[in-house]
Amino acid sequence: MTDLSTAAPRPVLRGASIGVAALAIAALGLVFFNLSTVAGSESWLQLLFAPDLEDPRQTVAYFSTFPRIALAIVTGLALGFAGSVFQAVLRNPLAEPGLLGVTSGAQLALAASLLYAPALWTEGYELVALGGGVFVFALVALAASGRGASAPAFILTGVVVSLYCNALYGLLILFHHDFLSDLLAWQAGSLQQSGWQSVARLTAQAGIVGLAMLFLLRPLRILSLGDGPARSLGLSPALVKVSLLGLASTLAALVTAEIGIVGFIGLAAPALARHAWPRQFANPIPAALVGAALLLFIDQALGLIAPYAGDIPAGAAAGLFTGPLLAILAVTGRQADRPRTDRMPLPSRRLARPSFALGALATLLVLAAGLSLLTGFGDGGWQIVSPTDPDLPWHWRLPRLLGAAGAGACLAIAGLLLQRALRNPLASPDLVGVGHGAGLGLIIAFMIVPAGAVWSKLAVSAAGAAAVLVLVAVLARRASFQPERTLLVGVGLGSMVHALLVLFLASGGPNGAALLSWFSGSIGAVRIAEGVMVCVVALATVVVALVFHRWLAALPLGDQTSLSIGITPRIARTMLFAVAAVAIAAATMIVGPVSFVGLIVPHLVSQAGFQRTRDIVLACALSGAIFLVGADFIGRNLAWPWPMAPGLIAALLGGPIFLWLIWRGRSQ
Amino acid sequence: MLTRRHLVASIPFALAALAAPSRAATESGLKRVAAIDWAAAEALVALGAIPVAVSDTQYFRQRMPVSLPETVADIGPFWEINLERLAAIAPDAILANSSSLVMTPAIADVAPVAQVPDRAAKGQRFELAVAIMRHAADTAGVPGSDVDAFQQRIETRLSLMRQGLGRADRPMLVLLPDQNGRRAMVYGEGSLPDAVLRKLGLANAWSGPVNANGLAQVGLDALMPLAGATFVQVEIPTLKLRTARSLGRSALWQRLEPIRAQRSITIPQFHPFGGLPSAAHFAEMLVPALERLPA
Repeated sequence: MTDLSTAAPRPVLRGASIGVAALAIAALGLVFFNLSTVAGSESWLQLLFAPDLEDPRQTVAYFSTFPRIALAIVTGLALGFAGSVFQAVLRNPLAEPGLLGVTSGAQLALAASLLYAPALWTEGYELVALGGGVFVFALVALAASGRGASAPAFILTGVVVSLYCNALYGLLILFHHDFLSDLLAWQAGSLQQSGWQSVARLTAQAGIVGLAMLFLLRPLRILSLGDGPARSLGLSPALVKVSLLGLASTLAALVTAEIGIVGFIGLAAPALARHAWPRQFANPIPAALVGAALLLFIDQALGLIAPYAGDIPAGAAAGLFTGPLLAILAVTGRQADRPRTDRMPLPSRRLARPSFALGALATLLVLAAGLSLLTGFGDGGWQIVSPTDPDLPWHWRLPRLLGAAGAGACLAIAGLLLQRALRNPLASPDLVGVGHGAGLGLIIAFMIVPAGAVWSKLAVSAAGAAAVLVLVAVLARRASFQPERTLLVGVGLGSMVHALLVLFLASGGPNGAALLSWFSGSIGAVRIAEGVMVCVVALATVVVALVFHRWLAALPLGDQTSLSIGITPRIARTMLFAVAAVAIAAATMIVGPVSFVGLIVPHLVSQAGFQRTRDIVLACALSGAIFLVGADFIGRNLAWPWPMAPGLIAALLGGPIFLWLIWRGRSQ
Repeated sequence: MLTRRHLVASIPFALAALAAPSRAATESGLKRVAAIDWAAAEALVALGAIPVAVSDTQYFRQRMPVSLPETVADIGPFWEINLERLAAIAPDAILANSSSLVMTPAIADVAPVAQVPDRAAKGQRFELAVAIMRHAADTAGVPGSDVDAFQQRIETRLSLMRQGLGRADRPMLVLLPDQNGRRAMVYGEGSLPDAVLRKLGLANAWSGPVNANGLAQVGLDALMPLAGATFVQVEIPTLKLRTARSLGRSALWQRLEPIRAQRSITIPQFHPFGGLPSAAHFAEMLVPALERLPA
């Protein structure tokens, strides 16, 4: 495997092409096999054009098997195409419509209209989905527009809006969990068909959008040379980018409306196509074809096992297949070197007296902690308890407080370490896969431990986190801890776990809500020992980050710069990665995979104007702690006696703050 | 469709007739119980031993076949119990299943937790429903004879219905179609509807694979071989319109033999993870609907 990366490009190219060809052949083989299982000896042409609808087998072939094949191909084409356009425009191998919140927006609009305005559904839910997706895209474009539609601003804004939509969606589901299984089953992206209408509709809609995009391919190729050459040819880069992204988003929203969320085809197909045809970077056609082959293969493989395992939604299962694929690509492949333009958004201002600001943050944390311990909503409305009461503040509230503060600090510092070490403003704790590992442990325990047995959530999630951590570390080491590859490994594993979660939730059963609440970041179950543990880890992480602050400052400047001042990037990255992973694991066990704090707090801190690395570390720790302590306090009281997960509250509060900062930054 | 509305209206009466008069905890030596598990909660309410607290009372009142007095406190959802409120209520015992103990182990700090039985031996789902009620009664201090009497009433009622059905040789498929008209959730062996079908002397048409709860999510193509079955569609009020529209347009659904032969009935929602009261509720909805079906 390793010799591939050092060999001449030619054999690599051939190897990847063979892989893609094999995928296509395997997909077709499965199609033929499944068709002959369903239809027996009948001629397929007769089945397709003159089926005998009195024969149940022919009816199934005509109304289910054939449309399903067609739908897989159309969906795969659309998603591969859209994903490739996103990656080419934003120049980030992690970009896909889902990343900019388009699918989350569509999904949220569908769920909200189902709950609150069912009349909209009768007008055609495609319009609702399209409206949600396009609205989110417009929001992202508007917030990012002031920076010349620069890729990093776009992506970061998109991720924030996406998390925001997901948080709202999570709230909707947890507060209407009678809808739970139905909504989740429907969003899981089953390609199951019972007629030709949806294929016909999606083909027509996606065809029109796709054609419009084909006209923009030439400008896209010119854009791939960078904004400068494009501008000199009289193209407005912002206009081309926004219209391409808008059309690609429309494609994704259409797919979401028709079949729900189909995970990771948009990410994996372009990655695979890039490996097979490295020179066709700005051409989305190969990626579209790979997408079709990939989705067809996955869906037909699922059709093969359906008689034994029931109908497994292909959209969710795609994550299971493509997760390992991304990881393998990251480890073995040769990443084409492209000029990178996605750097961190520059901080817009500078704090005059950072130590004063740090003091203010510390005071705020103490105030928030006191408020959280001594006040709360109860049977008789708002109540203030005395600190001498041994029960309420100290037995019930202190563990939550410690857990929230420690986990918030851990996540914020881990986010900072990862963003600096991996040189990607999107590197957040959930991209490393450790949180997903903890979730994986829980899902597996819920699946295989027989009903009635009580197990320790903490131990199970720790085991899962440790297992995935080792796996990610081994894989990332093979990828030499190169930033982009390491992120691909994490995203790949994360997508696998997410797929398992959706599959578990969609299979029905009363434990789905429990698992969903854990994944949205709830803190109610923390015991005092765990709270103390995560605070200790948080303190240790802060100390390590302070000790190695030079690494944090130097790594984002590039490997050459680091080497020239005596830092070996590989060693520095490995160390920082390990420290971050331990902090994430500790935090995840307490609050679940809260992605928002780790992603946003480092950006908030630098947007606020902290500039010295040591100040940034301290400010991150304090802000992360304040964020989760505040979110826990709000979540405990807002819908009393119902809990609202602090992870969701953090996203709901932090999202608008962050968008406002981005927006304010544009005028300067 | 008027008939179905009659049916829905008649259910509370049917169950009320089965239920014992409620007793106040203090006067009869009953324990103050917080019931997090809904199957245990409905059993206690049906026995007249009203729990002091139940998880997610608002949704419980919408969804469950027994009526919960307004005085019962809400302690949040089963996956994250409001510990402060539970501690303030200070129950004598807590009825919970394993997943609540996994998610919020600290409930054991408040009061002893009696773990509700949730594992049925093969083909013993009805016996599990009885075991849940017996266990809940034990925990709350309700005499075992009350449980025997309740079980007896249900069994008598079910066998009466069974005799009324008479020619019940047709297999039944209890299913919840999805709102896209492409897939359905079917209730197979090990599920509560399956147990009730057995008690009524009816066969379950679904013999395919199911998950641990006795459910399977299948495409409509998997229903094609079930010619001769009677479909029992479960209707979720909020999704009713949309599901009906999708099924009307679904070519495959329209080609299914039971649909073409109009051998399909619709019943309102029931709680598939419940105990004896939920089982009785399902039977009380199913049987009248079946009786109205032309032979």
